[in-house]
Amino acid sequence: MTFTDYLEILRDIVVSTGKGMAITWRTFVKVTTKGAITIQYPEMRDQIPLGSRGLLFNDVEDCISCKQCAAACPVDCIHIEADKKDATVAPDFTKGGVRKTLDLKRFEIDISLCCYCGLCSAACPTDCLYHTKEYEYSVYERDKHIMDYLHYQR
Amino acid sequence: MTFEEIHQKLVAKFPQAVQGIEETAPEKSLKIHPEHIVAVIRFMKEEMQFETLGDLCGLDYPALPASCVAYHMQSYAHKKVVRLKCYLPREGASIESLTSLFKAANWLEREAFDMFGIRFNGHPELRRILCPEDWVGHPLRKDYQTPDYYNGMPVPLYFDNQDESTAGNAKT
Amino acid sequence: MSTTHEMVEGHLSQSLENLRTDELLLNMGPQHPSTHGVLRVVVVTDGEIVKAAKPEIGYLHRCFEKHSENVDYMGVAPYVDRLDYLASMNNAMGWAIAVEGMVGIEVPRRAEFIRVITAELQRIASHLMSFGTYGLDMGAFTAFMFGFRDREMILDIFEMMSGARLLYNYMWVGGVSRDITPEAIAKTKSFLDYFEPKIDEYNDLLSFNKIFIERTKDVGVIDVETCHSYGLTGVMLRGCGVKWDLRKEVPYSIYKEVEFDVPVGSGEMGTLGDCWDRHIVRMREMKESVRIVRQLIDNIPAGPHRGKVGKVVKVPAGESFSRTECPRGELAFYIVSDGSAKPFRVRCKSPCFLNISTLDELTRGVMVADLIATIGSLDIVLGEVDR
Repeated sequence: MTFTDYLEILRDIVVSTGKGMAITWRTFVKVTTKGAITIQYPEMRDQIPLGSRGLLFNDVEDCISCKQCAAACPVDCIHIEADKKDATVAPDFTKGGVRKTLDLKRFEIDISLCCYCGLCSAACPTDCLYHTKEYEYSVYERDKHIMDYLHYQR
Repeated sequence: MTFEEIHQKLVAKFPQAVQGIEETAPEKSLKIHPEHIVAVIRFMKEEMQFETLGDLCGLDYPALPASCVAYHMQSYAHKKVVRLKCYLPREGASIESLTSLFKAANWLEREAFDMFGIRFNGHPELRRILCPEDWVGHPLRKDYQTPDYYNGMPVPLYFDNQDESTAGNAKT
Repeated sequence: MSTTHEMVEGHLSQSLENLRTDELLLNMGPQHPSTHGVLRVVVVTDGEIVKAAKPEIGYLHRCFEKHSENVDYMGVAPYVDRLDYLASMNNAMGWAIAVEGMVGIEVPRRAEFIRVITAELQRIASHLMSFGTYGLDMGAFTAFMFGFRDREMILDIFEMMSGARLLYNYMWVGGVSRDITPEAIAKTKSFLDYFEPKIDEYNDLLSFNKIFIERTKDVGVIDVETCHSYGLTGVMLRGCGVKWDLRKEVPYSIYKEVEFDVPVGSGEMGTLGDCWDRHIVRMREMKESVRIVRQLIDNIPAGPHRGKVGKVVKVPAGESFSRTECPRGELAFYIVSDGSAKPFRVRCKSPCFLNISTLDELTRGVMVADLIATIGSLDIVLGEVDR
């Protein structure tokens, strides 16, 4: 490499880097005059779009214990136990008018295993199991991530 | 070049090697005798424009019983993939390595060895690739039992739910 | 009597002979910022020269193939998303096409349009990530921020469409899980208008920067012969001048009906098939993806977004090997079904696995800094390498 080649490379470096720096500065000016793009998280929150898949919630009043969600779940995090309903008790119906033939004894989801794929809520025939928009539910103990929807309080 | 033409061409060249066509819809596969696999693939590479080894993987059939190596030969000229299958005995399976023909075979054969325990003769360094070096057993075999402990650490079995509350989909 | 000069020379040559040089074993990774994940490379160096670089993989092995033998065909889809987590849509599309081919499910045209639109947007997002991290590897931080800023907009569109930001589970067997909304269409259009001029800006910012060119040209050169021997596909193959794109050559879905070019490397800045060629192919592919989405976004036909598929997908006994073009190469699923609800064997042929296996050959005798440049240009995702 001769000295002129070296100078040419040096010139190219200065020119092309200057071009890049111009883009950076243009963006910098645009951002500073328009206001920040980021938001201050705990005080301000971004709008979550409709249909976002967050924490699962089951409305046990409407659940008919069909176990279709447990069958669809690819990681087996839904645990359901149900008994035959006592025949002497008056029949029970969901909001949609489906008769509940089983008595739900246990409905638990281990949220720490859940992969938020949405297959369970899609399989639910009465639409009682659905994803909420909730996304902040960190806890100190791992057991607290087992959601018991029959005794749900939060 | 259709599948039948490829089959006929191979039969004409290697009458003993081709053991027949396996009707596996939607695509057919060619059954090749394990002893001749390197010769067949060399012929396909050099004479029939199947330039690339698309994939090489093991299979385990406990019902037959047999281990199997499936080769997918890929051709850019014919825009085609042809599957060759070699059936091996299930215990102590070994087959000639393809590393002399394709460099891709090096890692793919290591993976097949790791997962199924199929030995590839003539492979430069046949050792585990995805599992740790000291792992016991070959995980993708159907009779594989997950160990309780690995180096003193308990192996978590999240999905081994003995209760019937889940549908028991993922039992690994 | 010797002169002082001769004495010094003699002393120097003697000390150089006695100078002890050793090969140094350098362990790079598994936690290292420029290995793009948990890749470990054992590098044998002689001073600054790389004598050998052996990639050790398996740190992210999640037993995808074993898991998929234990869940039904619909249940594999979330696992498939996690293979190449930067291009979930393309992976899921590959899986859906593989299963549909075996069952013989007719996919509605509306679903095909939505699929191709999302797949191409995902390709842009993936290449933006590659562009950004490659810039970061080469010491350019602005490219990283710009890449992430625009990728964020695509993720916003995907969140509107599918409900998730990274692992969508959007492409189900038989179609897509949700219909595309007018808001998502409007947002996609405004994104395209915003993004198309940005590609040239990024080229000015990084691709045609002289420092970047000097670092990437003539580095990591691979020729067609070696490519075929290693079974490389995708950008690796196109980077060395082979015009091979599955979307063009063996068209699946509705790629037959859209117009686009296949950009190939030409050795503009140095040797054919070097790191710069691979980089520029990715940048040009983004432009083609924008072109494809533009053709489709206004003409989405009306109709259902999912074909007639039962709750449990019943796959007849058989074997199928189906390939799709992902941002990193040809992803193939080899499915063996025995007629039951769960697959007998699922084999995922991942392009990254073969890409990273070339590292030893590509980096023999180069400088350590060039090793970083080569790893970056392979654009690997360890989720797909280790599966």
